[in-house]
Amino acid sequence: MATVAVRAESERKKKSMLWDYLTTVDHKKIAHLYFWTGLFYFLLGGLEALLMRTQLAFPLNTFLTGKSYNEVLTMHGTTMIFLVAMPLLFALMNAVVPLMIGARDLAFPYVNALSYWLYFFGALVMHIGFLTGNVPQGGWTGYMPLSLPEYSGFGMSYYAMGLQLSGLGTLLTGINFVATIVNMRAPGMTYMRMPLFVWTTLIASILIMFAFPPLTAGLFLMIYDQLFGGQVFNVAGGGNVILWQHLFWIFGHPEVYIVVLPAFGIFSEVIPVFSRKRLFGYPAMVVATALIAFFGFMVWVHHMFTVGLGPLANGIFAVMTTIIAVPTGIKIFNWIATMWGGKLRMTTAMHWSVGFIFTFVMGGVTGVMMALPPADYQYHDTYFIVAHFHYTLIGGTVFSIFAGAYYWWPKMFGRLLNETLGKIHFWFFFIGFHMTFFIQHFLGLWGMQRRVYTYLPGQGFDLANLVSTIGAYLMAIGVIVFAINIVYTFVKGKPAPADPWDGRTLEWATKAPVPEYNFARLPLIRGIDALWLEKMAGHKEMPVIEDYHDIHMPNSTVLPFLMSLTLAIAALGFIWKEEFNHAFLYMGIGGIVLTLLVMFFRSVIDDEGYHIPKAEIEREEMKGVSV
Amino acid sequence: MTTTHPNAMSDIEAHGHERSAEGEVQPTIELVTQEGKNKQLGVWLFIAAESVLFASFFAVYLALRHSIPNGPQPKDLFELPLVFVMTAILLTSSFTSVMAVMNMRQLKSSAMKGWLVLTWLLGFSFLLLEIYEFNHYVHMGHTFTSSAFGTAFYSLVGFHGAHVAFGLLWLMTLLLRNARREITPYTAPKVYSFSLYWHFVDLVWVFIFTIVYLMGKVG
Amino acid sequence: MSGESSTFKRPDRREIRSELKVQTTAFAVSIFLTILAFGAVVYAIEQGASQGFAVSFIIALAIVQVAFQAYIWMHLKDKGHGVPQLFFYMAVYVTAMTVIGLMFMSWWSA
Repeated sequence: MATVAVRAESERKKKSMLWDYLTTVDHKKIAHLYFWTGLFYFLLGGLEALLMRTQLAFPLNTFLTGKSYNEVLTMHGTTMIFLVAMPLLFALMNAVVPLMIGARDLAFPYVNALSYWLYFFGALVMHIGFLTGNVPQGGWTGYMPLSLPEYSGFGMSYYAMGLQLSGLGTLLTGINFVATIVNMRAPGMTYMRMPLFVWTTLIASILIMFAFPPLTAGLFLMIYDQLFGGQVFNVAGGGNVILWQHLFWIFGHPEVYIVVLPAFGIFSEVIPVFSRKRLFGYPAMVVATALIAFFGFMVWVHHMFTVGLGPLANGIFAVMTTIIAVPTGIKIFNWIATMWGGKLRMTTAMHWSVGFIFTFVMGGVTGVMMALPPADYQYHDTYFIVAHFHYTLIGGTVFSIFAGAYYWWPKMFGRLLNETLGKIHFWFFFIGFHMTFFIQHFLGLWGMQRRVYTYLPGQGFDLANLVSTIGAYLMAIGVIVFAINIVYTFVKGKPAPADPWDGRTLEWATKAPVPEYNFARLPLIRGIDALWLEKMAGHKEMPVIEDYHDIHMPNSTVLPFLMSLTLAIAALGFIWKEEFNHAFLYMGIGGIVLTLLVMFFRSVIDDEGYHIPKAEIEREEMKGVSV
Repeated sequence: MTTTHPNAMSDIEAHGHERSAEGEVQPTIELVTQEGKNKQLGVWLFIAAESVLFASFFAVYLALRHSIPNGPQPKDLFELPLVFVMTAILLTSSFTSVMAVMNMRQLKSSAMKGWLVLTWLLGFSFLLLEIYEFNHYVHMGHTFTSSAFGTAFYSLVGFHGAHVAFGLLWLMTLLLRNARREITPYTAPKVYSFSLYWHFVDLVWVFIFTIVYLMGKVG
Repeated sequence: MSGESSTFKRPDRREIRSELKVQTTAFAVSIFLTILAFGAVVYAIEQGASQGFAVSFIIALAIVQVAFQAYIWMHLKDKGHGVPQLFFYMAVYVTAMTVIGLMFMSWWSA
């Protein structure tokens, strides 16, 4: 393969920042893209939450009623799950997983860029409804037949198309990370030496691979029924609305683990570093993660206990659901045991971790309560459920994203976030969170229904709702402090050293800032906590297996952006053909043809990447030593 | 150009089982490069995910195959001889793509291309037969919108047909781009990926002819 | 990363011959199983034989045929296919859950 060009730095064209990010296939830059986009939607989804809490602050409030409330409710849920939780986790995965396993990039850098742009345009398609006046309003679960145009207009078509696009991106990300972790590990990085975040990324990616296709199928059928006269969910045509619930929850329950397993992984990285101890019970953690994933596909009916599938189905799924509590409990004990007797450093990341253990246990306990069908008939569709899943999703996923952001910020952006502001952020958010959601358990038990835009005075809901709303504003203050912290860090922050936390895993062995090829020479891994092992043996850096040589890099390309753009055009065309004018059908078909055309170009043009010359790499590495 | 650390080599031998194993067994041409290995695994992962996608459509079809408030019944609709011919054609095209890969591994470029062209022709005739079949059904009143059974049928079988069509576009592109190229470790994984995908399309059809057509006659 | 080692194996004459035999056998078996399945259904219709048996018989045949094709045509039998095999079985597991779930839990049953 002598055809691959060697291009020195001077020959590589200097690109503008916009074009650079538009065409990049570098996992570190794609991590930035995921992070900022996810953060934007986090603010948007948070704003929607505030609107809802404002409406619910007082009985019979008229701030946001009826249809508007339904729209905000739907967009809040959909945004937070699909456009915030997963992308922000992908940001952290992209930023550190290749570094943790000693790889120079993901297995498919091109597909990685494609995944991001599909997510970007999927999110955009979902929000186009705000311009055309048809905002999704059928709930984030998109139940049938409520999501058909007769009942909720074409808003849910934007939901379906948007999710279809971003879901395709997510599926490709899942495949990409599995292939990367299986194939691209550095020498000596056996499976049982991988950091736990890599393990949870691997298993969450496997869950993505198997859980997203049922959603894709369900969304196709939804789109057929909404836009092409399909009858699958139309009872008059022989259809069955329960099918949607099955397909959605076969996806939906593993989805819960897709967003929470990587969170467990992040805490399993943060807690050992700031306890100065290795993770307690590493093999048990791995097995527990795998078990959660395995059982995750046998529990979906616990979202459907009140559908009336009969005592046998409910019984089986109740048993499977309670079983899942066991591996999760093992993990909790392992984290506590890791901290036990350790030299704790209460950094901001550690604050989030301890806060997580406390909060997540509460969410887990209510989860076991709801796993029992007779009791679930009482909790179903009340604020008890709302409280439960916010305890797990915020207490698990959001806390982990904040922990990961404070912990890996120096690796991602080369600076350290301010710790004082970080702790202010934590305390506002933590207290606000418990104020908002703890009381909602009781609201639910007292009989307040979820998804309803108001309630009557004098039912005993008034004070509790006001407390909950005040809590939500405290959380908002916390997030604003985080935003200030980010700005402050970019303006005033000093460059971070390569290993600011005295880290244990391989990502801290890379230089600051991480060069685009990650490792000038591939490292040799000699055990769990590879870097810590070398530190204890008195070595300054990782042993390497090769001399400096030309490093092969993939070319950057604008095709992923174009492919996603054309698919988004197709999606909008198909919606608009029903919403406005049948002529938009041609826009839909045209979009598909253009997508195929882009794929054709991708296929026929040889793209073998280029080599960064050895001399340049040596020069860069020497620079690093002097600092 | 290898080892710099004194313990490096012994450590690789002790722990890097996977690496040393590869050193002993020489890989075939599509698996020589890292990219080739990634592609092979990636296509397998894609196939695993697609299985679940098809499973969902199969499940919906199985749940709705008796939901026919209006329109013809599957018993009156399906014609087994036509389905058998389609099955035989697709099976054969899967076999011809096996032959293509075998010739690719022997670096017999023109034989490989010949088998691929044959695969394409068989796939194309399958697609034509399927279009004829669907057209026939529409005339009998079994359409996408006629009943839940209709939507479920066309969702499943049509989705498979779309996979065949996409496979044909893919194969045509491959043949075009490689028309003047030799078999190299860069081009071989592309052919191998296609052949895996094409087998998978055939594999799904095995369940379609069993569950949709044959069970439509007796189930 | 491409071109890190340019040596690859060209199968020798003996290997080609045995591989050709295996692949052709798989093709013959596939065609045979297909004919068997169609024949069983035609027989069941004409003789009015037990349709329940015919259904389970043809589904069993389909599973055998798919296993054959996956292991031989898609090379799951070859060395170094441990990970694809693992994912193949994971897919079988989730597929089974999905199909069984939707078949038995979508319509009202006493």
